[in-house]
Amino acid sequence: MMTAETLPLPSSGRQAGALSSELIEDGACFHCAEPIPAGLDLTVSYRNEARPVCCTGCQAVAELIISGGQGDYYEYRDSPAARPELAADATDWQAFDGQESVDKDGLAEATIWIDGIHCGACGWLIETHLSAIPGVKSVGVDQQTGITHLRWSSEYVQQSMLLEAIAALGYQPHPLSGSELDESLARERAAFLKQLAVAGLGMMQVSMFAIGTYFGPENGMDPAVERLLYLVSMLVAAPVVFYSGVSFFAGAVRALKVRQLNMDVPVSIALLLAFGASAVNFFRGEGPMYFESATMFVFLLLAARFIAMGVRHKAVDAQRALLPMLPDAVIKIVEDGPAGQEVSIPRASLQPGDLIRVRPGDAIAADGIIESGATTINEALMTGESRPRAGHVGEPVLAGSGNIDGSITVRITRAGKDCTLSQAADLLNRARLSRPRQVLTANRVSSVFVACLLVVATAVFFYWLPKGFEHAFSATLAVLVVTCPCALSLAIPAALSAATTRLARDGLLVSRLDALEVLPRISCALIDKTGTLSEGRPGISAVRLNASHPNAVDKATLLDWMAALEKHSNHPLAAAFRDLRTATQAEAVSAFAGQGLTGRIEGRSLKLGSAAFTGDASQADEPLILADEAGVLGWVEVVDPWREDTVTTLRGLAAAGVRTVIASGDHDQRVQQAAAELGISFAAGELKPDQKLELLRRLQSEGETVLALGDGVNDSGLLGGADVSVAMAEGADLATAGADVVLTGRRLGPLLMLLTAAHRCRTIVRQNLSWAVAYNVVAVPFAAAGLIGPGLAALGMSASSLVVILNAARLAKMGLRKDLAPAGDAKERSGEPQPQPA
Amino acid sequence: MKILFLLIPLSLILLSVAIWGFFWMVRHRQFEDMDAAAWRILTDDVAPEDRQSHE
Repeated sequence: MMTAETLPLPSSGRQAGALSSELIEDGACFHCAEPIPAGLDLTVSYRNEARPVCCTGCQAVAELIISGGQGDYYEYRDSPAARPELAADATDWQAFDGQESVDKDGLAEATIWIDGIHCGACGWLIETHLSAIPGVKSVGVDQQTGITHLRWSSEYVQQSMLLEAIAALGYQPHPLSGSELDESLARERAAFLKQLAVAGLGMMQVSMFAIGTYFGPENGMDPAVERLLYLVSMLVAAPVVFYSGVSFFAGAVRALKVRQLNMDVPVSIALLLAFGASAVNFFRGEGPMYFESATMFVFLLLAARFIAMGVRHKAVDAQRALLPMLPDAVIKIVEDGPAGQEVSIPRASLQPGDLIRVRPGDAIAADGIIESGATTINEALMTGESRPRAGHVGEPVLAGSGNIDGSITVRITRAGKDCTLSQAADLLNRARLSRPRQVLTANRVSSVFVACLLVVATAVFFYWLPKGFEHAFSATLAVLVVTCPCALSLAIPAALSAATTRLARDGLLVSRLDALEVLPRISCALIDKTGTLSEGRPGISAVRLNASHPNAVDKATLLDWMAALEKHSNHPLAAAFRDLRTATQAEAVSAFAGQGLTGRIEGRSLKLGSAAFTGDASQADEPLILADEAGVLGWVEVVDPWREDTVTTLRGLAAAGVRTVIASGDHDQRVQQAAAELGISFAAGELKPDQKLELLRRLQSEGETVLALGDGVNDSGLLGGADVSVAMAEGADLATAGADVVLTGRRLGPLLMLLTAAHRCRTIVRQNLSWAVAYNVVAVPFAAAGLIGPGLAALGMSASSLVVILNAARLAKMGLRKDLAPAGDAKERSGEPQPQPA
Repeated sequence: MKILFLLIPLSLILLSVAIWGFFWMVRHRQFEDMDAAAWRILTDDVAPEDRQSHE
């Protein structure tokens, strides 16, 4: 048996970008590649070598993978694994046992969505690991979407055990219920694949026949054979145009119904002209026929759109995007049975009126009112408010909010699709539907061209009419066919798809091709604050020690102790200490809801928290304070820091003539302070999602072309309504689902690259359009005069298309890093009215 | 060249068979995951003796 070590696999034969185990740097975790905290000595044994890991979570996952015989994962993955969350509690999953459907062979089956899959090696790891569990019959992981189909024999294994096994590998499984199981994307893809196959195969066949017809009867071909070749070409081209090309016609009809033009209109006209004129010529028995051009045209356009669809589908659909924010199972308190009995049920079966228990650290599953208990609630997801608030009996709570430190019971008022979080997803969908459609430059040119063509064709017809109807008709068709705006229609999609490919290499994923055409005209950028301009997670900004303490400690010890205590906390501020990765253990830690923590380290009884909690009256601006029995040890300021390139990016935007406006859900005071710090003249705070959308609409009505940049659920409406929307990939999935462009990585800088690329793309599109128009201007008079034979016309058309495609291909290789500031044709703007916040 | 009258319609039949075959593959979800197969071939299956135990 061949093992992976003996597998004859040259390094060049590996998947491009594979992260083999040798590439993990010294001092980085073998599993997640994050830095290992000083003094920590945890290792896993991999191929007889001790490899260091950063935490017990990574260690557990790595040992599980290696001992299960799936160590090859570490050779073939293309990026490090996510750092595993705290071990999942298997009892959570038990709510799903017995809920699965049973197929005709008596096997249980379920569809789950696995979050955290980022490369083929992940899919392989999950498949092989689960297949090794006795009783599991089949595992199908779609690594693009994370949707996984499982079939198993329930005599041997339960669903909860399978979910637990997936969680143990460091992924987050979410069982899907009926309404969340949206197969529409898969159906769209399947339909698209069929159309693409018909177009591709049809194009090859018709082109082959076309080469035969180029010889023609003048070279001794039997006219009957030529006729047969044309007949077959027409028979094959018909399904290509009317089956594969149906989406172009549907799109054109939709646009015309609302009296607008999109790219589909000229495409449809071109297709109908090319096919219709050729068919008419076939039945007349004379004149040129261009079935091969029509089929090639359909295939190339479909291929470009298929790539764009792939990107769009990668951004998960809006309803599924909500799953990671909500718990899969909830604890329901049974009120009509034995008093106080608690059962775990799937979230999907929750009804308004139910009473649920929410433990500290859990997310709230549905909108409701706190019935008992007191806690601190983190509503950053819905409101963008960066600091948690206290939650008391009788106060409403929203689905997706985090219950930080107290156990509460909540009476459900709105569940499932009615809760505020789902409404945000709806807001996104509605905003997208009502987005002001841009009449794009390129489309206008195409439309003008098509209109001119029709005028010229009519003129030609009437010019030749005195010489007889037959002659006039023939000349008119020649004009229509020779100008078949192949190069013209390819000019735009070829450039867009080349630019998209180029941007993807720098971590910019474009899901709506039109966005690139709108970008050069952007005049205003509406940007969210928390998580977009800022990192969205707290960082330590200043540490001060209390020198007058009788038993003072140094800075490192102070931070280490704080980190040791915060390890036990779910409070958002605790995240500031997570990077310290302390190995110190605190004993007897207890959390006081909304106040702080107490615990013992090295025999000292420590208190960590606000001024009131630690009994320190000297501080006004609420830093975190660590105190022991003898008094305050030190103060730590925690802020949400700007991203490393926030300032340079904003400067770049200003240089490109783009006005920046902050739209945040955070406290107005903090927002104004941030705006002042960053030199932004207008900022609005305390905006709800629909108010953000309102602000956007007002800017648009003032004539601005607005780019929206955001990361959270509360930005989703904003992103849906903007002329171009950009979302941070690390933000909420709901935001990325609504965005035209997704920015991966943790920097804002690529935004400037996006603008540069859009400008270049526009230049190339203009060159292509000029070329296509010039070609037609030269060719049409000759065609109108009846001087161009079929062979010459076909050659000319292929050559002009080729020029357009090669020119567009330059975009795929453009260098973007050198000149980050786009050389845009920005308008001077001064003294314009400032909008007021809503 | 009369044979073309037989061969060309024959090629059309082959074309329809190819398209039917492709549609069949799409219906059976063979194109849903285009990457997993590339990974699967790089690694060994479960050893034969283990395989028997859970079948």
